[in-house]
Amino acid sequence: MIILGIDTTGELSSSAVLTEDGKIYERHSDDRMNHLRDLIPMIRDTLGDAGVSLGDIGTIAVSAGPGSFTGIRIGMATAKGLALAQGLPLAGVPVLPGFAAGSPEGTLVCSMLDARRGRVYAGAYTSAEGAEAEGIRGIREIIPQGIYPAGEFVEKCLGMAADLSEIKSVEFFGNGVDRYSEEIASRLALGQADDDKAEEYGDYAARKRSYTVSFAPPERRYQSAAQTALAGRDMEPCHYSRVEAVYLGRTEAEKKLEAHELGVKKSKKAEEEEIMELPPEDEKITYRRATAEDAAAFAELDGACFAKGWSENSFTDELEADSCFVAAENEAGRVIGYGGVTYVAGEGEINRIAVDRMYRMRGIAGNILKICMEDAGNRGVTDITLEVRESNRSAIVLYKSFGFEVEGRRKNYYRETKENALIMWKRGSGDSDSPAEQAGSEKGKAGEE
Amino acid sequence: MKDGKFLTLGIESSCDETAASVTADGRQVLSNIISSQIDIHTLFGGVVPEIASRKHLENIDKVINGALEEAGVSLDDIDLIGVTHGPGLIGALLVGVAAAKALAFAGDIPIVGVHHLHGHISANYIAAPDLEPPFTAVVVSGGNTDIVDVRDYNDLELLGASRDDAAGEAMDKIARVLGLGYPGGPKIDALAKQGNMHAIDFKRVTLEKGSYDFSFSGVKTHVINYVNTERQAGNELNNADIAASFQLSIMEVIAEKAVAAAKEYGRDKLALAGGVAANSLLRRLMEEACRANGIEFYRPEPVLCTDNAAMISCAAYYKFKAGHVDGLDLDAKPVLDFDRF
Repeated sequence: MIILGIDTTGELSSSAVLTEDGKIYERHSDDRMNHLRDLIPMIRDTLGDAGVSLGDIGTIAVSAGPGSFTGIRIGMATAKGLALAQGLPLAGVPVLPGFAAGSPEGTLVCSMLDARRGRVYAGAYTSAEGAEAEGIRGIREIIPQGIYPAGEFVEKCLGMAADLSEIKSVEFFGNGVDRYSEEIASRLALGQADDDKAEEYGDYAARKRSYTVSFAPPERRYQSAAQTALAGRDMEPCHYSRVEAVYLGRTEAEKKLEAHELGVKKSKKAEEEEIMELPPEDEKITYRRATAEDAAAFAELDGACFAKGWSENSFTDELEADSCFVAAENEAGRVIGYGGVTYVAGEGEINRIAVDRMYRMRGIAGNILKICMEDAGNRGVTDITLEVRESNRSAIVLYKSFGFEVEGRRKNYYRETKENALIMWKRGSGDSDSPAEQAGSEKGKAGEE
Repeated sequence: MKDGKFLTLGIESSCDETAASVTADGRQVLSNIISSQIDIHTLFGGVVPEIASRKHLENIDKVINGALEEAGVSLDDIDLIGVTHGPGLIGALLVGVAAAKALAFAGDIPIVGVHHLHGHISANYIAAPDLEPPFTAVVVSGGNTDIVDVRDYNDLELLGASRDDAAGEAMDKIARVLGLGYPGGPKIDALAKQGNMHAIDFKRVTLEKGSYDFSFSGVKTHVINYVNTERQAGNELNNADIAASFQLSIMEVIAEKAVAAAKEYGRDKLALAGGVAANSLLRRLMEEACRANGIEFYRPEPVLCTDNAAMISCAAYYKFKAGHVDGLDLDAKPVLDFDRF
């Protein structure tokens, strides 16, 4: 099947034809940010290069984002129009895991696109048979796509690479590489620091690097229609009406809209809206003990964070049991994170820890866990356990930093994905200083039911 | 072509309506699908560009398919594609233009970019099958208050425009001040019917003699100051009187200038267009002024006054008949001179 690839999410737009025998014809616009004007003529010329017509195309693969909002819409609207006219299925290719399509095994593909203000749209992936990330087959998600502070994302990638023995090389992709090269360089130097600085610098610095680190060469570094077509080949295309853009950043206005639609909070007063993609970095997060009244907010957040969210009733039960739940609130007073520990027969069990996608990489999960651990300490509870998805590396790293050790494994515990759960325990007095401040940089996606 | 008729597919996405329509021979509407976002923007008291753009992308393929289905035609039957390419919100415009270009390329169909205001004026051709240029047109909408001399289908001259707030914009703002919500025009129109339009004498700004330009920011400020002063004095406001008096102060000036333009240019027909053309007071004032001056008055039904694609399709048809075709490098223009075709 011949695939037409379209990418307009970056500075330069491109179109590509991927033939059945794997041959790629690609054209780039030579004009920055003139995607709308250039795209259709470029597609026409690329088809000409390949010696095919639109009627020969079997699937259209279009970069769905993240990236320039305007660019995303030009590509998507064009792809939808072509698919509608030709009756073709459409694959909306997520750009971040898309970089990993066709990458050699053992390489950690770290995709980072500049999201301004020191942040990146980012995610990290490896090639893995049988796995699937954001709909692309053959790719395993190591760090889920989201918006991260650039430096912390780099640290996280290096930490993951150190943790995963199969990783032999780490490669950085996207224009975030150019924009934040200093941040990357400083973290790389840090990674080679002395062992005695390990505590200060985090988990991975303590080990000798067992992997190489590189920036993808310019010809492969940026999103392109050819890469989009390759990734699209590993996706299940669907009807064009069902393909959605991947913006990652939601506008403030949209959040209000969503809240309204969910009936959670009605914005009665019409006001002029400022478009904001991200909450401000210095936004103050406050932590408080949760009560049964938080159940609804927790259930909503849970549904957004986990494939199988807990119901409001489940939360009410947990909150009313012998437990300590913590709610993290942003300045607007919205619950953006929670976590809790339940006490049974003198032992503690960490339930879930969840943090809103927009607030990850800020140490919120670590802070929540720290408060739970302090509560356990105050009660004289010294033995605490939890279960965590085996693939949830970031959570495992977080728990380890608090002194949890893996003691067992439950096979196929998560029925939907047939994934194993790790059983972790922290035993004893618990008076060893927990490096909670450092561990705070971990994303808060911890134990799942 | 189908049944010997020339079919034009029109697409419009310049503001908060995603729309597609099929017309036959320019003036016969076979379908006119409009997906409105008003409910969403009502929450925010106005159009939020980023949200509008996202919704356009979600809806564009649905309205196009809807328009084809309702017209009972397929893309193969379409002879021409017309699309609004400006002016408007760039993020909104480009969704329609990108989709239109893709259809034109895939179906090997000629494409014509249409100026949004040209579209509004053309709505009158659909509403009145006998209407032919020349005539005077008045376009009153959320973003425009324009007087246009329509010499021929594709020969239009802008005689005057608003120098600050458009009429619809001023109405939206006053509606917010009175707590009526969005969209302001219909809300004020409805409330005004219960009020006395001569209760408060808000100022009328006619600018220099002979000018067809408008200025509504003065009256807007006047109304806001009046409301604030009364509130501070602890007086109970009569919102219906305020709405009625404010509306009169705007519509009276529009009607006067429109009729003056028609007389100066020797036109015996005057056509109203744009979203605010649905305003009942404006329609009444215009009708009276036209009758008093022996001018025939045209006004499309409300569905053709609001942003729609049938009007774009009609305008594209007459541009195409005059030999105008755009290339596949057609671009969206947030700012587009009215006289440029």
